[in-house]
Amino acid sequence: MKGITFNMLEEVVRDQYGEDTWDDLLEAASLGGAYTSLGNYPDEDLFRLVSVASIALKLPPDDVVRWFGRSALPIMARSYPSMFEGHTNTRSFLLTLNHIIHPEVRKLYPGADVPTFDFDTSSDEVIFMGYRSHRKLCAFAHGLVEGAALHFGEPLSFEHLECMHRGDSKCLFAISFS
Amino acid sequence: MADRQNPRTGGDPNLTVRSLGEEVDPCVSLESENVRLKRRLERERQARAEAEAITEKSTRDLYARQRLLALLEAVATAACQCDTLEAELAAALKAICLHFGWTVAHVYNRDDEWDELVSDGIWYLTDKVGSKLFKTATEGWRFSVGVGLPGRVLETGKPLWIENLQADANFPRANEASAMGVRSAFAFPLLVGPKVVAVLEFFVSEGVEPDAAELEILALVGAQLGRAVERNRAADKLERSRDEALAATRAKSEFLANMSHEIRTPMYGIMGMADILLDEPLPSDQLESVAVIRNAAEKLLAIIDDILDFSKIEVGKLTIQSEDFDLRTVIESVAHLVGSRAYDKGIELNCFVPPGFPDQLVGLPGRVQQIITNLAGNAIKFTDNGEVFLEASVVEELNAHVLVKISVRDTGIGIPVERREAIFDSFTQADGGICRKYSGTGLGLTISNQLAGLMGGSIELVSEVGVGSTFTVILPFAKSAQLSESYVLPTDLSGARILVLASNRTVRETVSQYLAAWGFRLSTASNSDDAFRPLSAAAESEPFALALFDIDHLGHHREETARRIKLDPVLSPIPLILLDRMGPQRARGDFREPNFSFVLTKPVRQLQLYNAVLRALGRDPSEELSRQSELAGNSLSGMRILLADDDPVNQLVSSRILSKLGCAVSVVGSGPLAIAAVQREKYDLVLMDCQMPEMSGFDATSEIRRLERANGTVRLPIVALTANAMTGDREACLAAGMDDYLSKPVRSAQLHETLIRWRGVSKAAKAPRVA
Repeated sequence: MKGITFNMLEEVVRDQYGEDTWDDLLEAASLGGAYTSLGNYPDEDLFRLVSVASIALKLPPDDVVRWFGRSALPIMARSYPSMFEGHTNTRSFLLTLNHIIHPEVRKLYPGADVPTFDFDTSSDEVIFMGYRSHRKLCAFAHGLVEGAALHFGEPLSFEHLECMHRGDSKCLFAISFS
Repeated sequence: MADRQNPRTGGDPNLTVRSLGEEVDPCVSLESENVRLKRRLERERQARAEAEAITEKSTRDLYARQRLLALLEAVATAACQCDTLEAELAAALKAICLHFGWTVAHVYNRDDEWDELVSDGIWYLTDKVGSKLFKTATEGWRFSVGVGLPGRVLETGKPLWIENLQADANFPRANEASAMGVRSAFAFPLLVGPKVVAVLEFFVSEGVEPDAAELEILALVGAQLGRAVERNRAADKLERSRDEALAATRAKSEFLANMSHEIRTPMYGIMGMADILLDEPLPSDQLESVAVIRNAAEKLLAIIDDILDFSKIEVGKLTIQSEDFDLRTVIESVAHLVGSRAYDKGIELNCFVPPGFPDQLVGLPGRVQQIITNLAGNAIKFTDNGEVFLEASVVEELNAHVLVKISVRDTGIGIPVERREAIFDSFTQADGGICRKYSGTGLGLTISNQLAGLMGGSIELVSEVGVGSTFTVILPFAKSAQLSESYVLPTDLSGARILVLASNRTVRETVSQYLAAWGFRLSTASNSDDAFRPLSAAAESEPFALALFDIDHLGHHREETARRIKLDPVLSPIPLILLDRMGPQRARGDFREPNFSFVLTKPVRQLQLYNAVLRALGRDPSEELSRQSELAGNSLSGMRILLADDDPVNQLVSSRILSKLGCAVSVVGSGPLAIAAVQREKYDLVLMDCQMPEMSGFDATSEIRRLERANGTVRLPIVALTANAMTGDREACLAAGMDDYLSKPVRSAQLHETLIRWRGVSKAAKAPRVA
């Protein structure tokens, strides 16, 4: 996993709970915590951080991950405004994930292992969005979609129809904005 | 499992890790704060160091990448700038060696037949002297699959690095490599798809194995050069095929030339003898049979000529050498030559070159004749009723040049619009099915069209199905220095009255145009009744000086007309010229009376008409026409000819034709005998066969010329007689000292024409000696 993810996690924790909380999490997870954005770090580090946060908060790990996604999106919008430019709604923004956003990510972070999405846009009201990643961080995707809806100021309805955690081959979300 | 939330009010989980902690001692707190800060600082330091390391590595990667791209660019540039594959490979070897610091490089080609690698002889060497032994050893080897460094690359299709050549069990050139001072080697394949087409090998005293990125670039280089090798091989193959095809075409045309030579000799016998028989007083059925033989032979010869020409044009061998010639003679003699075929079919054939036409030109008379002969032959072939008419006119005349239009008009079957393009293609007639009815190779028009193009002209076609076709040849010529002959009547005869009777309008009009141009006053009639009326009427007032009757189309009136003329007291004293058709079916038989002695055969030719008219009026045309005086007589009587030919059939045929023409002929069978004969006897001309055993006609001629120079005697005209018809024969004859050239089989008419031409020269040459 790219160091940038840890950098973002550190930022949202620090922003919302203070610098000491980040120290405590690192300590609880027995991690050194020197993350540089371009470096590569074990996925395990993230899962351990999520795990200790989950214990501390008495929340399921997926909720922690989802909160991280929701909170990370404003950072992304600040750091990479060009990816958000020209979009007035969440739907059109989401549809650029595969062919604009992730290719850009790969340029900035060579070797980045991004998930693949598929979209069924046959309906004007609902987007069916498929998610595939060996990391199974569908909750992170969920959080990011929530963050995007907040960013564009749209109400969101999100249904997790299929999930890799329940043995499905991919996760499938039904997303609508009313 | 809807998970609805209001984005505006949705809050974060209440994350407070320390919420479980108790009251904290301030001292302890300060200390732990210090520890915490130190840890944070350490974390930042580590992150920075890592970031720097990543940046350094990226910079190094970028540099390596750039160098590799430069290598790729160098190889690509070499490909663009080098003319040959060898140069391209050499440039690639150099670029790769400079990139890696390798000192020796070499290319192997795959020998597909043996599946082995052999040296291509292309090297990059930094030390030419030190590497000599290694180079010799390498170029002496053939590497089978799996043998040595290149053999292993051939086997696997993959690059191979050998760190220590001395320690490698499969490197036969280890000693030579050691002597050269190299320790490591690398080789990679040039690939076309999965196939190894060549192998490049490199050597260095100390080096490192190429890394993954370098191997990737070398794979690109290998694919690029592989394609170049393949392209080169394909080009080689193409070139070989082309050379083979050209050689085959050459062989074919040589074969055709030889065949043509072999066929011409017997054809000479057939046509010559048929010509002689046609002039014998044979029963008409036999004459017809002989005419069939004669025509068949002529057709066969035309086909042979066509095939020969076609093959010559095909290999671009047709020479273009211009000479002075008389276009009127060319057109009129074609009309004369093909005329009998038309009249045999019962159709009319006429030609007309207007009086005053600029007929003295520079060009290729043989080729012009060939085109007109072909067009006229086609016209006759495809016309069953009516007439064929050859006519020349001027399109444009400038000071030194003239654009001439020669049209061949027929009243034949015509050519449908959709076939008009195709008939100029090889082996095509207007309709595939038509071939059955109208024989022929279909080459004639193709050749004519190509010949016209070669001369800077073109052939145009206007046709209407069922009405007829007109092929028009348009050709540019330079005018020659010779002046066109202009004919006029002697002044005392100017304005004399002449009556022309011809039922055929073309005959009537063309004859009238000639006669009017010479100064006659004309009356014309299209049937005999109309003709006799003015003759009788004019008897008292202003009598006719001359009458000209085309007796060809009088049909059953012919005998009656003959009788009326004989019995008519007014008519019988008027000189009468009879126009008759050519060939065995001529009408002359009914007019075999002495007072009808002025007989002209159609097609009417200007000079013959002029001579006949003047003779009928009791004048000697030679007095009126000094230039033509030598040509005026149709007899060559008394001309002494020496015929040198070893073939008994040719001897017989030629001497009989010559005797018929009134010549005194001596025959010899070899070159030395010919030389002896001209020393002993006086001759007006020698007909010299080129190919005789013992001594060729060329050598005999050279010797005769040498003796003439030595003795100071007059140059004797020598005309070559040869069955060779290929390009260059004419040049060879002239180079040997001959004056003219006749290719066998010689037609009586051609021989006649040639002899008349040279008789004049011979007489002129003698004149000073007499004086």
